Amino acid sequence: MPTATTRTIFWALLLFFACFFVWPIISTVKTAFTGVHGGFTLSYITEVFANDLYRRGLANSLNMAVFTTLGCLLVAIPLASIYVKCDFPGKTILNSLVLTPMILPPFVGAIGIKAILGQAGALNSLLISLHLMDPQHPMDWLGSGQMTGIVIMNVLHLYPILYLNVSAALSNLDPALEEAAANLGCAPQDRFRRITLPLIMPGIFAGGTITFIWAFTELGVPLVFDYDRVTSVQIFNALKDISGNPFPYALVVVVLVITAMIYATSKLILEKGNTGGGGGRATTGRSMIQLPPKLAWACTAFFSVVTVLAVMPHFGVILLSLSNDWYDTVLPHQLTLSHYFGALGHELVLGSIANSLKYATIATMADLVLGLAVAYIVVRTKIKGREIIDALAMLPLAVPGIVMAFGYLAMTREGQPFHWLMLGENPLIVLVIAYSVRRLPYVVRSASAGLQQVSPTLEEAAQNLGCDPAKTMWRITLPLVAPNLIAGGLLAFSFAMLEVSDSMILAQQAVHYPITKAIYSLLSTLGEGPSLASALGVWAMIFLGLTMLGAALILGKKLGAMFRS
Amino acid sequence: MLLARQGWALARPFARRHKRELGVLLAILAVLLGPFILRPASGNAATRHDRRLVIMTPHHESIRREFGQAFAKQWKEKTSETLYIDWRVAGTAELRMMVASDFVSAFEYYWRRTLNKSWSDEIGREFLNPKAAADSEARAEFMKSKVGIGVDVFFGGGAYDFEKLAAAGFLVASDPATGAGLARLKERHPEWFNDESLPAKVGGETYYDPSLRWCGTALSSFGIVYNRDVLKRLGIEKEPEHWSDLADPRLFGQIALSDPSKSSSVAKAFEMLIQEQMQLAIDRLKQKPGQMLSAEKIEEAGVREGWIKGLALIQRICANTRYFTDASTKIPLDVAKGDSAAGMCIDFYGRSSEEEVRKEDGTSRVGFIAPVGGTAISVDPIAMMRGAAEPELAEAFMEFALSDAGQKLWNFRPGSPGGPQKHALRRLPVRKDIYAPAHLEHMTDAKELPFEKAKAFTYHPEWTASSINIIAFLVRVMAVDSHHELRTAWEAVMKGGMNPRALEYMQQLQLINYDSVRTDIGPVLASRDKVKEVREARLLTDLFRRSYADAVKFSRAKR
Repeated sequence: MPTATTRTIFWALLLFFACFFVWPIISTVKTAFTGVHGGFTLSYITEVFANDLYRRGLANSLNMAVFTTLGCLLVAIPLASIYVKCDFPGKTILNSLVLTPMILPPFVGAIGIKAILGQAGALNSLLISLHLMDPQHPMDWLGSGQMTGIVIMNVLHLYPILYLNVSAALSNLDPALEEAAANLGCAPQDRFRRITLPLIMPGIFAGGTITFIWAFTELGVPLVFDYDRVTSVQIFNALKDISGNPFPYALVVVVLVITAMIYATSKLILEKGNTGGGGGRATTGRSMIQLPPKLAWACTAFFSVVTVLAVMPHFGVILLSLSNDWYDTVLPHQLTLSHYFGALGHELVLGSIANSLKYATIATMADLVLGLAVAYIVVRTKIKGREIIDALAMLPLAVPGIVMAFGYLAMTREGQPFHWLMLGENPLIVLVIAYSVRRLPYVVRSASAGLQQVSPTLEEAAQNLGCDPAKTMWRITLPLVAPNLIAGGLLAFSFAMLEVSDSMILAQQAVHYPITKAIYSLLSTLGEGPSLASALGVWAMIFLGLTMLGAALILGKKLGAMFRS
Repeated sequence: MLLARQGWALARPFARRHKRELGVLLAILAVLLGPFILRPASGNAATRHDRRLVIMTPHHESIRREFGQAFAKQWKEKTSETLYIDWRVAGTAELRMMVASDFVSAFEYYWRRTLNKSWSDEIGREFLNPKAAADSEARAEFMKSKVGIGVDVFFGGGAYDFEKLAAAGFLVASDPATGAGLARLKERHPEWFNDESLPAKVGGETYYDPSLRWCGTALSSFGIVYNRDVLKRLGIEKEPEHWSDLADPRLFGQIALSDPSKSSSVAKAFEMLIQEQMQLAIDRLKQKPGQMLSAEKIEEAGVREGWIKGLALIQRICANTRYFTDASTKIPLDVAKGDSAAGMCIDFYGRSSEEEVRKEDGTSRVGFIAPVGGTAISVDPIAMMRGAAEPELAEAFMEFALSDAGQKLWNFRPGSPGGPQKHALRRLPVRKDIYAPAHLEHMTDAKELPFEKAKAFTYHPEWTASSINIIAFLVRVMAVDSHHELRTAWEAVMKGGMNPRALEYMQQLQLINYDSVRTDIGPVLASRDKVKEVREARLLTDLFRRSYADAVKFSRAKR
């Protein structure tokens, strides 16, 4: 591409981030730098580091992030390798089932976990009925060994991000390289360590950084365990302090800076190690390894075990939606469908579904365009300052949703420069921008990984043969990175459908509610609230699950088609 | 016809090739069809309406539905206009943040565009500051302006929140143009605003703002919600009656509490607990044989002793605590599910939770009690916002909420004359005359008699009222921020056989005695200097954490 075009894209992206990421954040966190009598001060920031509680919170958050990422790697890499290289019974369906953790609806997910792991929950009831536990002393799963519990739950929730990225990387990998190594006598384990692993490193990095940052700032899981000594919970608690405390904003700034530093460092280390450009492109079709039946079934079992563990909260939500009072029994006593009629027939629901689909679809499309543009600038050009764009696209992961939401709210009010985005009272554009900024990292990472694996020589060849840059992009680059884009787009779409903070603050009128706010609204119905909210949550789960199944099918076909060509 | 056949001929191989994809597509369509088929016949009024009333509220779905429908119906009958009630829903804390930030930008717009003046952050701080200098132009301009944020009514929250909103100038007693507002309502309905119906103050609590910028509509108080199964399992036969029952060592790790720094009404509940101990201390001193002190001296000594006793009790309860939350629904839910043995909760959540899990034989595993003599009964108010676009509608809604029709919704049984349509709301109306004998048979909580209960407890504002923020601060430093260490210390003390010396280490509270907190902590909190406040919090938290560590060391050494 000519530099003029790339430069324009670069500046357009920079402008976008300045307006819709930096500005809203600054407008909310500036209180962290404003003294009692006005004027600039750093005393809030220094106080954060002087305070042992905040220091420990940061240390615990880092621990949580490191162990969660390691755990996810241990689960996701074997899963992805098996999926890409071997055939086993139930492969297609398991491939989409293994992604189900991503579709856990907010608010009710926590109640679902509690229904299973609570002191009078299903697990304890099961153990008691099997005489494995003393009914007088049930295990308090959520109250003891909290950090371990949090890490396990985090891993079970986040491994799909790595799984998607690693399997996209593996299917981009040229099997000929592995075959060549094998022909030269390289043992399988050496082959994996010396050939495969280095080549799929972009994918691991893509998923790993997202997992790491996500776990570093994870809020929901520590809250379920009532664990308050991590930074995310400290921020969450302090934001609600009725005395109007500016410290949470100082903590947000600290978290942002630390995240940016960790991200930059890991990137530097990775780039130093990775000198070979391009992971290659399938020059030959990958022939699936035909495992002996026993081993194939073992693979099926591995997938199934991971899935079953990961969908425990989903089971909880499903059973809650079907029961009136589920307590102290393995399964609810009576099942009823009445909550579904109550929830789906609620006047808020139909509109909220339409709204969510609209918001999430447009946001995902925006993400695909933005994400590819960012990735292209970062991977394919040498423009000075491209690292800034890269970091800006990743940082939304580390900012609490509510901070961004208040920023958007402030900049679109009457008299503010972005008031026109409000379209009267309709928050459509603002919500789409909010969703796409917050979900952009998934697409950026997947697209970058894809571009890194595709050798630029292919594009150069096309251009040498007289193809213009736009056509090269359309005919050569896009098809080659399609699996990565679909993987990132899927993540962006389903997380946008389940977005909470922005929706809570920005969609103020009932007619504009997305589905998450409808769930929140139903949750507070007296009596059957949690069951109603669970029913709507189950609906959302089924819908997202089917969407993913469809995408997995298309993705599968696409991969197959590419291998043939 | 031919075209269709040709189309089918073209589509068939495609359909065959993409069988699975089409299957998934059909499934997705089927899933989307569900809510479409089940959609309610009468859609949201938003599609066609004559007027719109915007109400900000933390109230839950059932309250919104009952009040919204009943009011819209009444209005339609009166004026034949169709109303659209546009609820803006969030938690009280979020709503307060939203109101403040909305007003800042609305006033900035007004200042720049209408008054043509230059804006600064200084003005942004000054205009909403009730303590701004008397000659502050920004404050004066704001207080006489009709600057609004597109919201007409604020419905629900705590009295403390409304006091803050009113002080900032966000709430008004009457609309300057139309004269609509609570002030006019009081003139129209003198029968409501008197001691027989809605007293200005009860048991030391304000029930409506003296300048009529807000007014209570329902009563609320804190109590103990508990799970009988869990208590029995833990070997506790007696059901809790007083706050002190929550300090039982057998309840370790099984208590759920609300965080007083997140909610003014929770801080208030802790204050009542301390006041109860003060009263008990005074009674003890009075009965002490051979004591010769004057009544004033006894009160003075009792207040000081009760302060420490109250804080010590709070500390013990907190040591048993599983978590401090700010989500009001979490605690009754956790208790009902058996994840906590007992917890602190707002009365109507406790009562609803009891009702929800009641079996056919009338027994329930969940119980709720408002500790007599240990809880204040305060109000859940309503108010009109400054710059309301529909002041007359706002006034009509407030009138409805205070009228017999609105008041009955709070506590009448569903289906009874004037009762709610679907769910019993289980809240107590604020007007005394609603508790008339003729009504009691329709009420779900007739035997609560809140105004009688309020008499059992005389609130002494002079003892602690000025220190409610100090109490919230102290609970935070000694128990919330240092929760982990406190729990560890308490566990070690219990395992070490409750050594009195170890307990003494854990409960070193002399440093925060009644007089020293007033001279040391009070001024820091009043200065609104957040850096100073957090520094003070850090120093005290470190101190408490050290004494908890000492308690652990001592108990382990003794074992």
